[in-house]
Amino acid sequence: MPLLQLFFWAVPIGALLSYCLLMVFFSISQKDKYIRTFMLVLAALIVWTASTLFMRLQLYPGVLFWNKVMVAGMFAVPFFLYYFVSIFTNTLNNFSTILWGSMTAAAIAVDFMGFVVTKASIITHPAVENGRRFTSVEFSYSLGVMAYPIYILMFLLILTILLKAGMSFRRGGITHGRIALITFGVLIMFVGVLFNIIPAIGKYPVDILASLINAVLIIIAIYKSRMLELRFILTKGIVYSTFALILTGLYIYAVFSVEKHLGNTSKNLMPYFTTFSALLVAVAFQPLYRFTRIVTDKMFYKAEYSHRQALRSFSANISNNLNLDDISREFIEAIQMAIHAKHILILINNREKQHYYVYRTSSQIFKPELQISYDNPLVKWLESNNAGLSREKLYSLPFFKSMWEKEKKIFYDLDIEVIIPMKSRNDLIGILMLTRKVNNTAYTLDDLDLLAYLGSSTAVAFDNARLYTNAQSEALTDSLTQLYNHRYFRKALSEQMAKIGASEISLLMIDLDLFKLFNDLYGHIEGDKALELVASIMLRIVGQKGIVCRYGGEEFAILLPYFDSKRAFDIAEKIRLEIQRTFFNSTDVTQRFLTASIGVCTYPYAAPNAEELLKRADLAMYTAKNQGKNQTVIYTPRVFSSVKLYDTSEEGLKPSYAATIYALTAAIDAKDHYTFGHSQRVAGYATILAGALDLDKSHLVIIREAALLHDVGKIGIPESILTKIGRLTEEEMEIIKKHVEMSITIIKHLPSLNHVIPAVIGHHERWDGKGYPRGLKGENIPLLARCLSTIDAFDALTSNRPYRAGLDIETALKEIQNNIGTQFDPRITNLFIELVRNGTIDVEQSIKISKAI
Amino acid sequence: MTLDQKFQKKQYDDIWQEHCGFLDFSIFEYMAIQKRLLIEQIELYSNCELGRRIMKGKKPSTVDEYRQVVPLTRYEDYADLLLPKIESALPSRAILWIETTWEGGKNPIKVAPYTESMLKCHKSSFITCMILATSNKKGQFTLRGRENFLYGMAPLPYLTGIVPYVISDEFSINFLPSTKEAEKMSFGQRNKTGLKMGLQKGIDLFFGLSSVIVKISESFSSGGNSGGINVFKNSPKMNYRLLKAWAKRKQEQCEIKPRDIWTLKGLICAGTDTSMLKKKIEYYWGVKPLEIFGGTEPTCIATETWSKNGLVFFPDVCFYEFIPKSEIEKNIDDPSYIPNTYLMDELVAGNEYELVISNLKGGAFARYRMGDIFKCLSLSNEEDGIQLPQFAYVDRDPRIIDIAGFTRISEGTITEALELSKLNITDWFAVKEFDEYKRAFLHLYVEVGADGLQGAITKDIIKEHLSIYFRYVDTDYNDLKSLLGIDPLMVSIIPAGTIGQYCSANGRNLRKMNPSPFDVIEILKAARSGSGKEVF
Repeated sequence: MPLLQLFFWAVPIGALLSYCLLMVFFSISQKDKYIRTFMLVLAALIVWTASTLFMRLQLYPGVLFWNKVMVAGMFAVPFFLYYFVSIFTNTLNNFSTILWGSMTAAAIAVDFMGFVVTKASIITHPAVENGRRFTSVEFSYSLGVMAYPIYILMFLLILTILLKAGMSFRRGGITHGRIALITFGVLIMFVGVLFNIIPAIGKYPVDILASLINAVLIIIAIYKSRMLELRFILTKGIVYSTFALILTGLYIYAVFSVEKHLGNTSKNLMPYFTTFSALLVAVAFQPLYRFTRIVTDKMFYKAEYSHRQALRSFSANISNNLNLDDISREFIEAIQMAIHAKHILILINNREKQHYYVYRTSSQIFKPELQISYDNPLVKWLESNNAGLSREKLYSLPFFKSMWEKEKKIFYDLDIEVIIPMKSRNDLIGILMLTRKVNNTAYTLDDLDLLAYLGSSTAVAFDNARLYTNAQSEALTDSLTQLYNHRYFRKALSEQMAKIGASEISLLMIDLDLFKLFNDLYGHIEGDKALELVASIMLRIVGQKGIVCRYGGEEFAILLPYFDSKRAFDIAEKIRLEIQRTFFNSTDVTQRFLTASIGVCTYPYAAPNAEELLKRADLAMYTAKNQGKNQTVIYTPRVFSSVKLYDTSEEGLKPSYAATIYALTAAIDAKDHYTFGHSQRVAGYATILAGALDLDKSHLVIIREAALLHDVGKIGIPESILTKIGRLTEEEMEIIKKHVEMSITIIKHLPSLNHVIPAVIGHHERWDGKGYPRGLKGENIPLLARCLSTIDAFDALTSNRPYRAGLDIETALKEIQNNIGTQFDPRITNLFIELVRNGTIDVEQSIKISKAI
Repeated sequence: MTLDQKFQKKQYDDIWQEHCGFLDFSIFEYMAIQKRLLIEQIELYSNCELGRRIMKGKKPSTVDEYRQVVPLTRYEDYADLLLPKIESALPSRAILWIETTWEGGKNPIKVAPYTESMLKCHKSSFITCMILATSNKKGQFTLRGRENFLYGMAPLPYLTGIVPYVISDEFSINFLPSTKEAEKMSFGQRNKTGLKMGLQKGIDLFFGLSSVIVKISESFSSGGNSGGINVFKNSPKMNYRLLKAWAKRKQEQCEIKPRDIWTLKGLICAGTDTSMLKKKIEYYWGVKPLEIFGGTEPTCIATETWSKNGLVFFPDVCFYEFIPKSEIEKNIDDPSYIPNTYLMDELVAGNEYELVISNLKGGAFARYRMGDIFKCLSLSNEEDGIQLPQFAYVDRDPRIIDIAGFTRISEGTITEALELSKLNITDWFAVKEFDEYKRAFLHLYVEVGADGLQGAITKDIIKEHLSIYFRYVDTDYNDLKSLLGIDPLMVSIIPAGTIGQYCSANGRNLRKMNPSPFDVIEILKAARSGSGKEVF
């Protein structure tokens, strides 16, 4: 059959089949307004094509009738196309639509009245080509008077469609790619229909072919606009079946062609050749079928295909991976593979600073300074929602009304399109942000689902990585101070020694002075707080310059790579002075006191290797201790160069302190003669009581000195109040209470008497917590202070006062006893009462001595 | 996506959620928004000259600290920087300056700067009002875009003039007359033209001052505004409606009311006397009007909801504080007294409060006393499922007499007018009263000096003097008579010495503006009986 004859039949049949198939697919798919409108175009195309075919088949009632139907279909197509383009470009105008609709209806009516085509017939005649006989079919028609005006009308309509599309493109309503496809399709149809005016060409179905091309282009435009996923129309089964059918057809055709060819040459060999050729074709077609499936997947399930690939690759790469960097990199790669966003940002949680910060982005050169604080409504929304958040929602949901303008602007400037929570066990581990897609298309629901899935998977992986990192760091970190521990110090020392080569490294060994006493006086909780504070001081001063470790107990080690002894000494001094300033010079009298002794040694000048460095720094630190504490000593091979601030060794200071204590006691006795001898008596009783409590010698010394100095602050109280006859007013009481703080202020200036502070400061505290100045309760009050409290009260009761005579011993003891559990420590007070009653403490004798003096 | 696009896509739930979703907030969520946005405002405020001055150079870090640091302010505190429009002193760049009259101020007008985000917020608030005006049920509304909108409000530079400009980029509305034409017309002309166009094209939405709406309605019903009907220019639908209304009039021998001709989707009204006039408006127009509240300094800040029975404040426009009435009175009696303020979650239902606002989004005013009194009707509206306090507008601060939302007269204005009149008026007090048609007017009670010739000084002379002066200081005063037909001033003369005697008998001074009803009754009683002379 010649090509033209094949064209005559194949085009309408092919077009009709395609239209019908599409119509079926559209009918069973989810429809929106675009699909519904396009179905109208499709229906008109089916009428047009089917009637062409029926006309060629010369079906009943005749060629002219089917020709009229064909022309009606041909007229209807531009109108429905106009309607579709109006909807597609969002430019529907009711008036124009009704106008064109009426004119189309009129044209169809004129057509059926016989004014467009007057005659139509199919002419068949036998023909021979290349020696083969066949029946040639030709279509012949004559146009009526109304044909040309109506054709002009149709062309005007088609031009209007083109103009509409063009204007929409200029307005920016539809992106260029999609509108270009529609414009091009309509243009092809326009040319195809134009050929109908020339009967020599019009006798062939050129118009049908043009319409088919137009329909295909429109489908591509719809698909590209993402208003429709092709898979909603074409189910997997249908696509595979169609391809399988085509391939099977080709396969059968190939087998039969071979068979036919062989049949003519060698009939004997036919069964063998048939089997062989079937096998050959089958083998050849198998890879073709597989290839077709892959192409189908890529073409029709493009998004799903890349999603699947991304998921597969991501799952494989992050399984068992506990490195945060690796996971985040894989995560970004997976998203890029599936979504093709311009930029991807991963923000993770900084629990200390209470914000989310940009941890990684998809680009080396794009890392915006974006921090989202916990109080940002975005964080709150993501915490309570598992779904992603689109840009539209971010700007429209009332939940985000509290978002600041500058916060909104950041998202706007970064062009953030989608925000996805990364949650593990309901904890918002991170936030994923994506900007626009590279091709500027919108994010689909499938994209969001995939991102949500990837987000939550990554969050779990992030969480595990974080826990692992924490565990790793905990193994090398001291849990109290958060400094590196001894284990890490040893590792870091050898690593740093290896790393610095011929350069210098200094080591500071730091020991807190009298820390055991500090713990005993204030308790271990206060001791721990002090260690934390010291650690924070060291971290602040050393910063990134060195490695700070807790060597053990109250001992710290600081490695300072590339630091010579002079610079290391400077750092050591800064630390020492800062500790002293923080604990010692504080204006808050309730603040504890603490100092540090520091040893410095530098490799290679003062130590040949790591072991010696450690040993010699330690030696320097002990030298500092022995030289009176609170100082820094540098180890040198020949002599120790030390900076001595002041000698605070107890031996050296004892005589002068004893004199100071007595001088101060005398001063207060002189000022308040009613309490004359009070401090001495309290010191005497306290020493006996401390002995009975089995305290060691150092505590006996401390309590004695504390007792002597406990009221030293009264020096600063006006005499008129101290010696007032009659009851004190509330204001005066407040002034009297100040003597405790004043005592501490005075004692603080005597560095080696600092150890008496806990006892002095607490001697007016009460067992029930109602005392002053700190309101400590029960055993939180230092032990020695509790002893002084009981004894101080007892002596006050037995002494004469301006407003009353002293009580007798038994009455005073009873008074004391009545206040056990409220004012006084039961154990200590009961022991004291026993000591008085059994005469171990001779009160009368003490009073007599005082009076005699 | 614009509102128009959302209308086209029929995303009505999304639209409701975006604009009216805040009505689902709990008071806790509401306050969280208020407080967070105030912190943003403090941030902006502390970086400008105006803010540094008002906050005394401090930068509060919490809401409580802000309320301690910033004093309650009046326009006087801003006038030297705002009146000359010194933009460099502001917290954010001003896009627009909005004007209004400054009652009793040193200048005839006062101006307020509007930032870009304030305008955005105002747009959103007004769209919310439009949606709620066309709604009778939660989540359901009939606003669809392309409505004919009779917009009977003042043009720029007044606050109400912003709306036509800001909403046009969001969705299509046919303003009657169009914004361009309206700009060239006077207030009265615009209303007339709008109504005429409404007769041709139909009216879907109407926004106006309650007093104006009532006046237009009355005039329309009496046939005063229905002239000039041209059936050829009208749409067929409007002709049919006119014909139907005319037939009804003939048959039932009753007046034609606007509702016989137009079926409004929604009607929005505002103004001080709205509560008095709402029923009347509904009677004439057949729809429940939606009352909204706004002002030059705060923008549009409150709206009624779909049930139209209580105002709710927008959470993101201003930060609100409230002064209880007892505190206001203490402050009136002793101006040095600093009244306490309460927040939205600290109010008591049934109490009346003066509103204090702090602009958010870079606005200029901080803890600004609005001088408007609201009654907290309830702390929630169980029927509508709204968990936010519901308010009713009561009136202006008693020290200001507002008439029909047009003019505001203060003690200073009257004192100045009386002084300029050279009339021998020794004492006076003024009260806001309502006539039988529920129209507000100022009733001035004056005492004429003993040496004054009582016969010569008649009420009419005093009235004329005052009217001239009021017209001079406030151009809107003139409109009261011309537009609304209201005679806003009534003068009564009471015997000389009555006020003084009453004050000395009670041991306290009488408030000049709006003294308590008890005081007024007692003084008038004394005036009638004491001297034997009548109040005339």
